[in-house]
Amino acid sequence: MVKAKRELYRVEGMSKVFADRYVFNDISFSIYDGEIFGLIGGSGSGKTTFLNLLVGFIKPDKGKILFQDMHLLDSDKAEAFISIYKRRDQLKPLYGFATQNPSFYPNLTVKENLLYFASLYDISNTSAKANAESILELVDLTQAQHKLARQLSGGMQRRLDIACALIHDPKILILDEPTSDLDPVLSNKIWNLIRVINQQGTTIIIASHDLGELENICTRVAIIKEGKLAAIGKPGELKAKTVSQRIFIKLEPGNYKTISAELKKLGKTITQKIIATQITTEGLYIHTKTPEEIMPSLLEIIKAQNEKLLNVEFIKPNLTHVFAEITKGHNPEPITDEKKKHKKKHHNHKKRHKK
Amino acid sequence: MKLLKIIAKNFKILMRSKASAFVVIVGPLLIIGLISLALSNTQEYSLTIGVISHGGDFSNQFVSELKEAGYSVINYDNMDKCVQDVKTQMANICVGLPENFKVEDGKTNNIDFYVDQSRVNIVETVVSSVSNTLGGQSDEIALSLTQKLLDSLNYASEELNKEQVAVDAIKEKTANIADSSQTIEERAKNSDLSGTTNKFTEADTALDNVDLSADSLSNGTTDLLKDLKILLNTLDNDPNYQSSSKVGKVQDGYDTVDTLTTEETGSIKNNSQEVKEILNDAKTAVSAASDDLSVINNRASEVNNDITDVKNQAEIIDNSIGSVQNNINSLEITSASSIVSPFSIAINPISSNTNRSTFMFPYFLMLVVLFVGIMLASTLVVMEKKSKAAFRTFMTPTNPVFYIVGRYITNLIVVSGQLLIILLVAVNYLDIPFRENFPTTLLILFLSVSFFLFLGALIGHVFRKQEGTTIASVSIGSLFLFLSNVVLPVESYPTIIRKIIGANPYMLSSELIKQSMLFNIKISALKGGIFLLLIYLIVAIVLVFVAQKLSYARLFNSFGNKKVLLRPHIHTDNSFITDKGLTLKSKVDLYKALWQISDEEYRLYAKELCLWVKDTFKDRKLAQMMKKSTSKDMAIKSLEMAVGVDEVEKKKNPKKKLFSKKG
Repeated sequence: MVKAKRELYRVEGMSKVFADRYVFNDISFSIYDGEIFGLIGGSGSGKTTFLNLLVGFIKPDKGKILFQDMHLLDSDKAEAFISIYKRRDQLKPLYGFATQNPSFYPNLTVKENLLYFASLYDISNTSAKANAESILELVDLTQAQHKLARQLSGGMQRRLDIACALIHDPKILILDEPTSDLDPVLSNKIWNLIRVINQQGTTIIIASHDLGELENICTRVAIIKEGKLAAIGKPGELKAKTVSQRIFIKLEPGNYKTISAELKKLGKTITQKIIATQITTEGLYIHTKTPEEIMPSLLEIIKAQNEKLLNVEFIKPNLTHVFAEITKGHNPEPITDEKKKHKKKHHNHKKRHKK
Repeated sequence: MKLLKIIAKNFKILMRSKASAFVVIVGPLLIIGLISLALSNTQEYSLTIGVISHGGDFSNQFVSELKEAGYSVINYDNMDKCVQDVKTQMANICVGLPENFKVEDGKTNNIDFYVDQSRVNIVETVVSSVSNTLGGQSDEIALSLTQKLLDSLNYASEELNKEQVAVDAIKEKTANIADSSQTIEERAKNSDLSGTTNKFTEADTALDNVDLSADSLSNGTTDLLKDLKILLNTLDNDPNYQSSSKVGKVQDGYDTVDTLTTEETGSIKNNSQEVKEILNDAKTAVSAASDDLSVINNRASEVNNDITDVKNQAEIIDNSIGSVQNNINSLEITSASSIVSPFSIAINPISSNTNRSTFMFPYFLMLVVLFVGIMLASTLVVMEKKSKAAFRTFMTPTNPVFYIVGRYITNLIVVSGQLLIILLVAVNYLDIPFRENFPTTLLILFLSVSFFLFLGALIGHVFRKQEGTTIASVSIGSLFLFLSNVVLPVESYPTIIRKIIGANPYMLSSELIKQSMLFNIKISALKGGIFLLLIYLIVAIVLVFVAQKLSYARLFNSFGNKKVLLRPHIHTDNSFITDKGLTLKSKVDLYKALWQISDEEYRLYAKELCLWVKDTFKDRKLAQMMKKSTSKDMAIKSLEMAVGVDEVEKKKNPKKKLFSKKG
């Protein structure tokens, strides 16, 4: 990952209302040059709307979305911010946008698509061809460059879409759910591609449900909840700030209430480190920031209570947990591996149905 | 049952789709409305007739007749100007009345009609309508002439009836004359005077003989007497010869005279007897002839009288005939052809091209332009809008003008290619005189094609889906077609509608093309129409720009907000879960929750709660009341008013048995 440099976007008290409801309410944050910025939110939380606000497709009802003046991007001059909405057309060449649904002409070949979009960015033929070749190589579509776009597989189409977004060598690449409807193998390819693109100096802003990958790839993430910016920061920081680690134990006969009570009887040095205990039908969860310190005492209690330890797990928090914690009471529906499988199944079913 | 469900579903789908609802409901109504409008026109075809009249009673009468028949009549000095106006639709027909227009024997009155044969659906009507009006006039003239003829005949008949008595009298008299003539003839036959004539001739001869004899006798006697006298005188005077031989000689002379006298006297007697007999015969014959003559005379007198009468009657008849003749001679028109058809009508085309397919060609050509232009342009816009690439295209820093112009040129090339093929075929196989007025025709074609392309683009921007665009394109195209001269003649519409229809771009461009291509009318004469077409084009271009801007804005919004969940607290099981985890599944839950949450929280959920109440409980009234509630307390009151709450129970335990009436 390229280290973030300077402020590229500045969102100041931005609010957006749709149908008398705040989609965003007084949001303020910044996106830095060269970073991979992840945007996380529940279904319908307004992630796509936010991306469209960033490129000036939609005007905020309140506040500002500012962009550091393009002429100053590669210099060390003082900050000079301009309004995105007012300079929308001028800023267009600066970013490439790949939406959830690939956007290209199905009846043009891969290369024709790239060259056509390059021409719309006023790139000369020679440069366009050179760009196309390098991008085709980057997205691994060189072999398929003469194929009609509609004949490509889902993963290839997604890559072509990203290639189209990159054809004019944008400073910022905005990706909306880049791996939706893709199987894990294709998703991995896309994530790797994103990494490579970022390594070439392109700032990437991603909205995705794939929190696991976002955690791995993003420099920073922002979590949107009910129109508010619930959290923003590096994934590690958010995890540390928001959720604890957990110990999960499964016992037999499983008198978890006694175990929980015994834990509370331990000295302050231990009990202070236990954040909470949670009894479920599966077993007992012990929330703590220092599981290694609690574990010996816990094992002693288990032994003393004549319980048989069937399973023990140390659960480290991830972005999904952070998201779940932050959006508690909401239904964030983050994508888990289980859901991915289900989604893929559903996708295949839809495909069959369409046929 | 299943079938009914399917049918009900189909109706719902049809009615909920704007495009199909338009086709199902508005389309037929519109067409019926237009047809009704056209057919309900109480007036006849509102036709304008150009008349070239050279004055004169007859011509003026014709013009008056046309005006009285409801036609708008424009008087022209010459046929060329009138024909020009027919070509430019200023007039429907030119009627050229002949110079010195009057019905005369042996004179051919040709009325020239000049009509636009390309108006296939009205040309017959125009000709027939004007012909009928003029034909009526012709009939009136023919009727008048025939009446005069019949009057003469009647007069002749009356006169002849009157003279029948005279003719009868003549007949009677003639019979009498015939009878008398027969009698005279018979009598004349009987009165054979030829014998009488002979007798008289014989009598004449005899009498001549008597005369001769008498003369001879007279002469002999005279001579003898003379001699005797002399002798006697001598003897008397000479006594010597008193008994002398000389006396004997005298005696002998005497004897000779005596004999001669006797003989001649006998002869005379005989002849006289014969004369007497002849005269008697003649007398008898003459008497008979006299009788006959008397009869003949009488008859002749009768005949003479009869002839006088006949002469008088003939005089009367002659007078009558003279009168009848005068009467007949007073008829000006006696030629059968002049009476039956006082004038003839010649129908002339305003152009030398008489082929019907040639005349229809401009309409067909513009029909192609209309439908291909609209359909192609609208389809291309929708394809672009609905294309997967739409978003990326709009993301690029490209001036929208490029898209508009790019689409326009693309479509223009396609349509031009089609037109080129059509025109090549037309020029070679239909003998369309395309080259004659090429620049003007090309200009009109360009403006028309451009207008319909931009109109199509406008439709493409206005409608979101391909189906809507297609239906709208076909509908608008059909409307243009229907409100033109092709289906129903524009003259069949009321004047106001007619004026509006006259501005129909399809009709306008078709007429302009026709006038330019077929009638070779120069651009100066067509500048009004071309200017209007240009205005249409400019308006269409402006509208396309506006529509594209709005369409893009709509598209951007659709990119932005289509996935925004507007009801984040309403879950798939229709429960409402607050941020604090309160789960509401019924109105009771809502009531309880309202008591628990703060005013601030209520305001956060207020609108979503209204939607929840409306959608989950289908209680629009309560939803409305809650929508008007600006605070939690007002919402609670609204809920109580709407569903009814036992106040006592409420005070005792607001969380239990709250609803006594409903809910």
